[in-house]
Amino acid sequence: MDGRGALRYYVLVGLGIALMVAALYMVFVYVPTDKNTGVVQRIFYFHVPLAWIGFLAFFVVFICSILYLTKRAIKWDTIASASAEVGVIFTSLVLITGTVWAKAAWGIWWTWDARLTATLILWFTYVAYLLVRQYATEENQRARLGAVIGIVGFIDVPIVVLTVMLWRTQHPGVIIFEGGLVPSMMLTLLVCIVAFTFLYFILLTQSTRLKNLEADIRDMKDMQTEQERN
Amino acid sequence: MENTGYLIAAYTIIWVVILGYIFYLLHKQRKLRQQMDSLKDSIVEQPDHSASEASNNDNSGE
Repeated sequence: MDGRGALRYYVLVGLGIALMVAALYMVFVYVPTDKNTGVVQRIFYFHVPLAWIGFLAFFVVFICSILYLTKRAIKWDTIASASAEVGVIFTSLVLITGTVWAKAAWGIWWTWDARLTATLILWFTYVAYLLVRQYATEENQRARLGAVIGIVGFIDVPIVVLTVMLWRTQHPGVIIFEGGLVPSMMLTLLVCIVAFTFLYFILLTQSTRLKNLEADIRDMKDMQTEQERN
Repeated sequence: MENTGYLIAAYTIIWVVILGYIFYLLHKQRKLRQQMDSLKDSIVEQPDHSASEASNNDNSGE
């Protein structure tokens, strides 16, 4: 990373930390407790941004996969795989926090509701994406297979979003657009979404850097083997 | 307040997973950088090694 790149990264990290501290303050101190569902409703302020970041991460995988297949530049595949990794982590957290919230609100850990099932399928799709990449030995084959799964798998994202509109589900609808939040709750949610977006870009930068390092080491090992042969 | 345990559990899991992932990324990067440095050294050393071998061969020829 050059000087300006490093500075940009440190600004990103600084703003990310400041926003996350502000988000935590707002979730636990500023925002009032929901009268109907009680204190457990505060899970909502991190659960929704986690889901948003999952969708954003898979959208980045989708775009980078298309770019890889059209331009055949390995950098797009590197960004796609880094974003998929972050997306899987955030979607795992969506599922976990969702089950904890469900237990508190509905009295059950899990139900085969359309929204929950579609989210689980999304999680399995991108876990499969990461596993396929692990088992493909040749770099171009790995990138090509990954790109195909990255594009096809993204079909499930709009399905997850639309489930609450298309089917009768136990999962609450899109209350943000339905005006179901008081201004302080809406503000807290927005701050959390922005904080998590910063966190996503920080993790994406770190994960991409790691994958570039791994590729550099593979190249250097090849160079070393070549040298030893000569 | 009876559901406070669920709230604490949810936020604890979120932070354990996120901080664990950050730690994993930083730890692996540090290990890879060390590996890269040792690889760089071995690649740089090898041409010198072959060069010194060549000069030894020249000397033994004299």
